[in-house]
Amino acid sequence: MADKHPTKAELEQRLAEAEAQRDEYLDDLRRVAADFENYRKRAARDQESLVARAHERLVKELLPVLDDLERALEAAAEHEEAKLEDGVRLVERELRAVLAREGLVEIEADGHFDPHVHEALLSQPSEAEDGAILQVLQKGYRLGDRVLRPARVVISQGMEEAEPAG
Amino acid sequence: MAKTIGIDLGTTNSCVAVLEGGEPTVIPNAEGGRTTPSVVAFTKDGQRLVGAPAKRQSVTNPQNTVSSIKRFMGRKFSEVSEEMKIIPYEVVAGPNGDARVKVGDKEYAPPEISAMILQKLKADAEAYLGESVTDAVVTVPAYFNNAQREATKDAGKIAGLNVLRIINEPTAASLAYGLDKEHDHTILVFDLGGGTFDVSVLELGEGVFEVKSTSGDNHLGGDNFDKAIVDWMVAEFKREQGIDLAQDRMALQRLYEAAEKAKIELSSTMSTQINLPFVTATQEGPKHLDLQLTRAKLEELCHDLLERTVGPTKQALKDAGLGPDGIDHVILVGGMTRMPSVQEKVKELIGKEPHKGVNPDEVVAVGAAIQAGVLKGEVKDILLLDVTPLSLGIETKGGVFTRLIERNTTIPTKKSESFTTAEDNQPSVEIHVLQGESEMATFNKTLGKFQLVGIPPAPRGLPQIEVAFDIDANGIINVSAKDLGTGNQQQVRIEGGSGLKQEEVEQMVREAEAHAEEARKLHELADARNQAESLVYSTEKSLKDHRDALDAETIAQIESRLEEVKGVLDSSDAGEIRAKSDALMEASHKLAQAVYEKVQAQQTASSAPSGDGTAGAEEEVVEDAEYEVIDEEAKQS
Repeated sequence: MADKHPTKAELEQRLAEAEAQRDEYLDDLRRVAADFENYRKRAARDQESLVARAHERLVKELLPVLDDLERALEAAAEHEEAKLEDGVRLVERELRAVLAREGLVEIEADGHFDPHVHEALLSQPSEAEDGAILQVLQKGYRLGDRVLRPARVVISQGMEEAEPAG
Repeated sequence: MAKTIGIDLGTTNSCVAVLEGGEPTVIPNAEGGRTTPSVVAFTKDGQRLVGAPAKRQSVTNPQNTVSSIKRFMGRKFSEVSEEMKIIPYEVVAGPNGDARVKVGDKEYAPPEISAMILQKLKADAEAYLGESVTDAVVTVPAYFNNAQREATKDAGKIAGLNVLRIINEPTAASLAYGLDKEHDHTILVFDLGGGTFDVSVLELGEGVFEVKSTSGDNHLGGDNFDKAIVDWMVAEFKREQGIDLAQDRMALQRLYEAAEKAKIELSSTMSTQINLPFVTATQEGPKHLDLQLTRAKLEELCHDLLERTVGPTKQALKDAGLGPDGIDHVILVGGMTRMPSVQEKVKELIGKEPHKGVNPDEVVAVGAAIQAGVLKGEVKDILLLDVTPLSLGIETKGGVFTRLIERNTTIPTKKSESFTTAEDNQPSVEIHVLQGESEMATFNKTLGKFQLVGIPPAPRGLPQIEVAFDIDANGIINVSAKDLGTGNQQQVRIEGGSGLKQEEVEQMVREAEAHAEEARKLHELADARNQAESLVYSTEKSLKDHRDALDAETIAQIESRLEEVKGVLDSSDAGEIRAKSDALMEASHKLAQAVYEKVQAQQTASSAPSGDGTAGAEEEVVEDAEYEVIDEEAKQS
């Protein structure tokens, strides 16, 4: 019976204990929440500096390409055009190699139109089947599994629609 | 617990955000974009596309590509004749007179199309969060009527989302800026999006936002501005080269991209070069476009478009019964509001600096996510954590301010670091607690000072004194210093350290910036001095220990250089101190060399390891810069 009806003093003591415990838990909770918040801020900072460094590496790799392009232009000023073409071709090859090392892949555009990787700029009647890619106006690229830029293409409307009113 | 997402279902673009750890985060879509085009397409082979892929195929399939569906939400067929003129797909009257989209032989109610967009956003959010999402808060324009709101709710239902609440876009933007926490005031939201312009006046009372008035232009947005720039480029190119690029789809595409880039660049620079090599070709060969666009020219091109925002803004003020001075806050929404001339126009109209900081493309979704968090009880007062407004630290040797806790650290937090003495047998250290952003203690604010005494006699650098900062949730700072050797401890309790007003904090940050150069020089001087002092100390010590291993000439040289360094210690020229220190260091290398030679000679003579430790003593010649030294006391005595 005594258990069921605690005295006032006992109740007060329990209340005091509960309040002390509550304050302790609240303080713990706040500290965990603040730790998380600070962790989040640090992660964001780390991320930012990581991004900056990632740029740095790529830009550094591109510097020789810039040098070569300059050389090609200098050479063109002195020699005939054929040299320029050779030079630019070499620079292009090098730039392509640098970017390929970074994971850049050209999007294939010699089949059927796929809006996930292609962007249609024009569609025109042709003998090719409906939806076939007729021409690539601008190449598309993928970096890893992400489409950086879709390939801009002209696609076929097929034959049956090839009778626009005159 | 499942997350509730916030969705900005826009006319041209949509955006979704969620609260993570109490902070709103925009969820990137599967394609990596932070916003998703509000476009749905039905391809000839029966596929359904949503977002960027749908947009990409729109030219080849215009009748089956539905964009701007928001313009038809909850509207009667009889109301939308104006809208129908600008869209390429077919709109018909439904059985109850509602506007419906006809694709092929199928009819879709606008909520069904919107649901397809919502479904994609939901799927992308689920992929990001790694759990299923069912609850959402969706935003609508403030002027949406009941039918339009119901239609938006239906769209959510069809998409399998339980729409907890539909909130107004300007309200969401206000929430994103935390304006609900302030007292009663009025807010003007200026929303210039991709294809629509909305201006709303809100009044906040008792924590509830009330829309006082709305106005706008349903056919004014970023697209118009881009077109103005492209038209100019086309005209310039035609004038210079005689070729009309408007007929060339690929060239036009490149022009739009260049216009977009130029617009963004001109937000921060006064002029930009638009460079499009091989933009087209004629029989004479390739043609390049090379134009300069100045900010002034851009403003001229956009002048008429900008003027079109004036009427609606004035109308909204008038309808709210307010003058410009009746507005307390101005919020900008929509990517176009990044443009400086748009911001200036708003400032000119209202006479107030608009709020900035939240990405204007994402601010509505962010606000929706915050509202979602409030509804879910994730945003509770109990865990509204404060931050330290300014950095906290102590003064170390040479008046340098050493930070222990960086500004904007969320509290409660705790940080400790070990320090040591600067002099041999230093009996006490003073802990000078400061707050501020300057590198030098003198420019920062003193919060308290205390002494830790009773450090047993020891060579400098040996005692380890742990200084700990502990800030509780109320901003009360406890700083303690403990001699790890003896266990002696002293501490101070500082109240009201973070009870600074915003203006005071800004003032201190500004002052730190104003003194930054001076502080940097003083810091450099302090470093040079500290290094020189420890160099003198260690050189004197080894000279004493190994005097007999050296010839008189070397001793004389080291001693004279020692004197030279001592002579410039009080100099205020860091370069001079460093030069003399370097000279001394060079001379003392001979000392080290001599000692090693002697030890080696002894070793070969006795062919036994001497192991007396003399060889190691030289290594400490320099570099105790990492010892942060506290010695106000010792220097004064």
